[in-house]
Amino acid sequence: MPILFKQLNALGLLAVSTVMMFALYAQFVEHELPCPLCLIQRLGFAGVMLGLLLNALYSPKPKFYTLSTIFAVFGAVAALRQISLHVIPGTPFYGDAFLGFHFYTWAFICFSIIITGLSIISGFAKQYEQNLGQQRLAFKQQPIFIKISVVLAIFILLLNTIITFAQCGPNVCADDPTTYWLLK
Amino acid sequence: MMASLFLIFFIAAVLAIMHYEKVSLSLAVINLVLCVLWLNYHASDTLTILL
Repeated sequence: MPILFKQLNALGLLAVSTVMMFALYAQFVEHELPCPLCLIQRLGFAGVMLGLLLNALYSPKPKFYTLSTIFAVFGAVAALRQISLHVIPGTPFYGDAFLGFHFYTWAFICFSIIITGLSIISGFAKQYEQNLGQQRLAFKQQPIFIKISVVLAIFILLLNTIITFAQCGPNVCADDPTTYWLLK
Repeated sequence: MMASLFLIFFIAAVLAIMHYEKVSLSLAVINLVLCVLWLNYHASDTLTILL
């Protein structure tokens, strides 16, 4: 039974990685530089990814679900904070809309879905049954789907590290960024 | 500065692959505290709203 939940966590990891890839697509292709609050929401997604990654690599544990849930709540708070900045009539929006909503609104929707999903999946007690054979598999012995999702997630985390440094450098990120710190 | 938070996540994920579970989890918890501090810095009244 734990292997099924490991795969489910890997599927969740892939889904959150897709959200992060879409954010990177918007940044590189549509040239929308993320604001500090947008980056904080990405950090929330990264934290969710780490909890799911730990569940996928080891057998699922309540503490890993807790980690993901706390980061999802953190991201939702950041997204809600940004929505509250732009919801007042007459105040300018940040960035372009996608399917009628701005990215921070989408982020809040995604975090809400993640919190709901984690609450449901963490309630199945059978996944916590000790199975030492499954618990300490070397990375090479992991199922291919888990390997792919973990490697993709790590690549996205590395990419975010590099482009955030390229954008902000060692300084505090600009409130309304127009160019990369490295290109100045 | 904010890049360092992503870097911590990256290191924690790599350590997780190498089976340093507790170190990885500790880094994640430290990062959570740093993230909350950053959120408070960029949206200074957020904690006030929450509390």
